[in-house]
Amino acid sequence: MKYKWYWYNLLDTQQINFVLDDIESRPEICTKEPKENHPDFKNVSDVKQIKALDLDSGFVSLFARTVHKINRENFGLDLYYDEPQGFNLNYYHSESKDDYPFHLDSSKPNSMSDIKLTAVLNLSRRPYEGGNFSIALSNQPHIIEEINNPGTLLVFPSFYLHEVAPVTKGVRITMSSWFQGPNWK
Amino acid sequence: MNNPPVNLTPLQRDYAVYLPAISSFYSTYVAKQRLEKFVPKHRIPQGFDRGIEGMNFLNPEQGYFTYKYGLYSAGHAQLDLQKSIDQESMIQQRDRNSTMILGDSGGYQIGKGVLKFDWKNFEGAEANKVRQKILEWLEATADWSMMLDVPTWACDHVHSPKTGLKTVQDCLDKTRFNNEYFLKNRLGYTKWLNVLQGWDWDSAEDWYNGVKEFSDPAVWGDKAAEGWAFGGANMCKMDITLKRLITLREDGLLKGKNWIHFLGTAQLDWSCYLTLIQRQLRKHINEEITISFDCASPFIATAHGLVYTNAQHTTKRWSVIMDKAPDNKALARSDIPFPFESEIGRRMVMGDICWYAPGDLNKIGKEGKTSWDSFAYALMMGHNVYCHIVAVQRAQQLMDIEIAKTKGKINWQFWRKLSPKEAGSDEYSDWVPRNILYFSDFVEQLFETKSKKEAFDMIDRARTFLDTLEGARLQGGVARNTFNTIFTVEEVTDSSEVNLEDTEDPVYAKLRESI
Repeated sequence: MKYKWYWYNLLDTQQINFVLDDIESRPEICTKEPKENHPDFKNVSDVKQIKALDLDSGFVSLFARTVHKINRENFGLDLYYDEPQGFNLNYYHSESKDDYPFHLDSSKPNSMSDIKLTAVLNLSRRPYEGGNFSIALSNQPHIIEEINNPGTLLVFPSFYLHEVAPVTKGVRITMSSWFQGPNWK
Repeated sequence: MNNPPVNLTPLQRDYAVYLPAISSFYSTYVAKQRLEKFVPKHRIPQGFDRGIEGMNFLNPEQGYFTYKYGLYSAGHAQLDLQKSIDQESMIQQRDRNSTMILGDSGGYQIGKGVLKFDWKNFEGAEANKVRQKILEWLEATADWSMMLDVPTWACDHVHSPKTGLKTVQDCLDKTRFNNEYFLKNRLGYTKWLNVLQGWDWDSAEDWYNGVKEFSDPAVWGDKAAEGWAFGGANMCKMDITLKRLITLREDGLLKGKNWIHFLGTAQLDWSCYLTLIQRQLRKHINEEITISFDCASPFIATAHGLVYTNAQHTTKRWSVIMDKAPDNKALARSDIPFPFESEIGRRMVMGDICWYAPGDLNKIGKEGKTSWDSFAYALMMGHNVYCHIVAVQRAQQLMDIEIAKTKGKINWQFWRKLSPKEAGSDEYSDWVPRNILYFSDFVEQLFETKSKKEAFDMIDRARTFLDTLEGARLQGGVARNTFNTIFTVEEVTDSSEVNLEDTEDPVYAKLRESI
């Protein structure tokens, strides 16, 4: 299997605004993720957790369907054909130079399933600077420029080390979710 | 074989209704056979256990398949009612309780010069004679009828020399005159549709404002038109279609108006869009309303030697398909079964279509190139019309299946235009194109709006999406109205620009001569 990453131009500006307006008009659906979840990271972004059920079902369906299609056509991973239960909405503010240093996404130990794919959707309303997304390949960071375009959905195997560099101007907004399957063998 | 009729009418459920625009050539065969042995016994396919009458799909007892709906045009009809009763008995002597015919007033044929009309003296006695004949024919013939509009193309540079009309306003003025005449002289046996035309939103709006009074009971009392017919941009540009419907809602002119007809569309996707619109109109405005649409494609296709082979209902292709039909004298007397499925086709062998063998002379005493005699065209029309009805119904059924599966999972706000490279990347179904599923969500939300402004804003926001739903044709367009264009068509996305009854059509002219 040849792992890689794939991006897809999923939303236009009007649709990004639709998603964010919907969420921001209902702050009660968001739960702020405690910074303690990331004790090793100093400037981690402002993360809001949202249940899929509280989001527009058309958006959730589109997001999930696109990830599954990318998987089918490019990764061929054994995934549960579910829509994700939840999403993280990440605001990276330049004032606090928010970043997210190299890490990988994984399930809790002894879980009966493994996170296999990570999907990140850029929902930034306005241009920002910094905040480059990189994946570590052969110990070399590889910047994926395409995810800087608002509306782009990036999908990659969750076991890739990845990072978000500090945002230096503006606000970088992304939504991420994880797709699970049977335990890796 | 003496199988009972296959009744396609119950499969209509709550779908928008396809009206086959019945060719007079076809109905003539049914009618003439009732009066005499017009088609000799040896020429009738052996599988036709109910003879030629079995081709009459308006006959619920005798038809090989039956379907209660059709459109018939005054433009090619026998307007002498005494003669029409016999010559058009398929239409005139149908059971009116179990069938529905929408009458077209023949504005198309008048504009084209097929139906003679005194354009120089539009309001004169000769013109009134034609008007009166059409009106009386429609009253006697149809359950619903279109008033005699003068289509906007009648003022274009091709038709203007004949009609003397120079502007859209001229067409509108003449239509207003006709409408007044029809409503003042209506007899009450048929219900009338007020025809809407226009090139674009502005001209469609002018037209609407010019004719809406004819549907207003406050102006015309119980003589007011009982429904609408959408022509021009109203019937193929979705943003204009929807804005028109919203305008009618806001003006209170859909209440008590129980029929809306869309003039001439053969596209399967539009049969779905119109079904979805009909459901919202019934839910929010008038539960009695029905939307219909017509096309003559099954008949026109035959005139050009095309046979409906199958229909494709996939996200890649969503259309009826027709191909060049076998026409070879080597197949004369052949007992090879007709290979394409229909209630007509399954009763035929190839020798029923390819009638002439080498050396056989046709009705004018010559050996022609074709193996088809004129009756072969009628047989093929019967096959084709069955296929078209079934293709439309299958499209609507598949739409409902996929809507049930995706309910709540599709939001039109997430529709986006795909580049050619991305084609097929946003499909929800193996069968139904995404636009139909997105439209289902859109139109539900649209008719929830509470004001004209709110609805128009929503339509404007969705303009890019709605533009991709555009119908295949504007009526009467100049460039497309050529025989050659139609002749090369393999897939029907277009319909009655060339009318089968148009005497200028060389293929049909030849057919008429031979019957």
